Amino acid sequence: MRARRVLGAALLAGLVGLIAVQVRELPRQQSRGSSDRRFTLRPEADIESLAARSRSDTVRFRYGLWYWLARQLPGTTIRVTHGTEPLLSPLRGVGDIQVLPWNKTTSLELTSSSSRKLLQRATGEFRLPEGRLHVLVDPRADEYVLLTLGGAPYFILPRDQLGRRRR
Amino acid sequence: MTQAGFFALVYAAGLAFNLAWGPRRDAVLACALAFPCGLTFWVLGALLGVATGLASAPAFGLGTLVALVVGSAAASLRRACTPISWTRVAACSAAFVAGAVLVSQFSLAKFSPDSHQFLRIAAVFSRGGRLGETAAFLADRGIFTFLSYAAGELAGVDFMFSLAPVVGLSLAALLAVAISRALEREGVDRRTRLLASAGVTAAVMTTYVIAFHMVYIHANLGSALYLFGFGALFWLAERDGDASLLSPALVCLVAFSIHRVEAPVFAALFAVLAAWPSQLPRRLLAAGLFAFGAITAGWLLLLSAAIPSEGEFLTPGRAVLLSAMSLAPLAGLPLAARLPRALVARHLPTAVLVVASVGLAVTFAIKPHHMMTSLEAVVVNLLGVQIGLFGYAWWAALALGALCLATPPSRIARPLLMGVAVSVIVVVLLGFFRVPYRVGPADSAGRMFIHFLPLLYFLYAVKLVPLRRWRASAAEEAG
Repeated sequence: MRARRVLGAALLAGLVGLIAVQVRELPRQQSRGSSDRRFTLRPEADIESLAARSRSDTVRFRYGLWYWLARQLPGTTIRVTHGTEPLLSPLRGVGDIQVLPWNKTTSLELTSSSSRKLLQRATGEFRLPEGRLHVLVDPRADEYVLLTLGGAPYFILPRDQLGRRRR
Repeated sequence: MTQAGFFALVYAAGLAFNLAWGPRRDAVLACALAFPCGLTFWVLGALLGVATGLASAPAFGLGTLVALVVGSAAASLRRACTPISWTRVAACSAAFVAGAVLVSQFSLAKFSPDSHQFLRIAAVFSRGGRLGETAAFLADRGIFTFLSYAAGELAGVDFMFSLAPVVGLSLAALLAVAISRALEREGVDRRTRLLASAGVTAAVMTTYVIAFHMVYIHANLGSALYLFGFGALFWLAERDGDASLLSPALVCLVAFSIHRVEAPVFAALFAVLAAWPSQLPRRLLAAGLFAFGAITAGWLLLLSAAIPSEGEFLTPGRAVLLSAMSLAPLAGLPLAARLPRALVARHLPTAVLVVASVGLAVTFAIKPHHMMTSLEAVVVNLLGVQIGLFGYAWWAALALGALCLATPPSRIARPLLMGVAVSVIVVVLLGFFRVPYRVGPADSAGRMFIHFLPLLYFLYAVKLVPLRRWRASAAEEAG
């Protein structure tokens, strides 16, 4: 009987100790690592601003951009070349944007295979986890096209409507 | 509709189901099960919409909830002879609604790239998306979380930012109520019951990784809720031969099995260990396992025709294999019924453990370096206090497990405890089929261990808290 009581008291003390340690450790655990591990209370629930303020580079550079892009270009169809789709695949399901394969009937003035020439003509760029996404405005283009030349991704726009977010 | 309104509708449907076909006599338990069960029916309805393509997922989900409320109310009227404590129902429901309204006022959501993928595909489904356009994503992740977040447009919000906290609160409520009910059945006095249920619930919910997942958009806390729901309800049903708990238990098993791509392996494992040696009516068990097998296998077969042929996780071949696994608990039930129950109860858990251990040994023999890398990552993620995932939770679990070995074996808890032990082996074994696990909070295996912690602590509580029964149990075993 006494042994059981001692064991019961030990179990209870252990449980209380475990809870106390875990509660004390919570703030310390949050500050570890580079991802978003800190608990924060926000009055708004706008996914774009949450993504844009994320402490995770991947979330901020990729999703922050795509949510913003979806808001800037509502109802747009973006054509992607083979191999570029994974870059833009996070756009699937974001806002009113369709991602379709490039049908190659789109007329593009920028058909040069020299990525250096294209880079010089880029009007801006976005930062992505994979690197820079260069933006080119081609007034003769019919559609929005995402393509890769010389390993660098380019986003072709028929007209400039992306505001000042580019950097 | 608002988020809180959606949660209230899901809760009402789940409550109606539990009062009609679940623990009608235990109003508090019925209320604790209401949201998890209601959410499962929302997802199953939405899944029907995705599978048939007849209407959007939210339309089917909403239709299912309404049909469930009407059908359950009609069934309840026929069973009016069983009394319901409406005062307790009202008090618990008011507490749920207050909690849901409170957490819906703020955005507590935390994100990773995975979270954004969940929300984007949920958005595709909420706008009437079909299986074909999302199949590539469904090869990596279970459908449950996508469809549970597909209610965003219906609830009039950018995304369901309060779903994870409500799932977390449901887990805490169910954990506390289930422990209290289990200890009551074990003859533990009221004060000890309250102390134990509050203490164990606090110990589980303050574990950093679980507290974090209460605001983090992912599939793991839901998996933990439903696996715990199945295990705890099966324990309670088996303890007193209360077959009314089988329906919500099997709803939880179905929900768990479609949470992640590898979940059917664990669901089938727990179903076999719980159902084959069970003393509950075989006909009811067979009906429940049929529903589990039909839904899980049916979905996996449908998925096998849609997903890409190559992939790191779910491929068509693996989907067919998993669908066969989902039917195994039902297929083996007649065989188990022909053998003496005591024989099955005594040897089945050990046999499953031996098979899993041999499988693990084979994987180590084939890819020793790969498997050692995975194993080291798993050990560090679970026991490395500085990593900051589980803190001391698994150290405590190991210590309590050692203490359990000193107690008399329990006919009901043993298969479930063995289920957790075998699951640990299976998690490591699954590392064979993918890139090795890695150290850190994003690791898949580390997050999978969230699924087992609430059930494990529940089983420890029901084994260790009724201390005064140890001697009596030992005498029974000896007799």
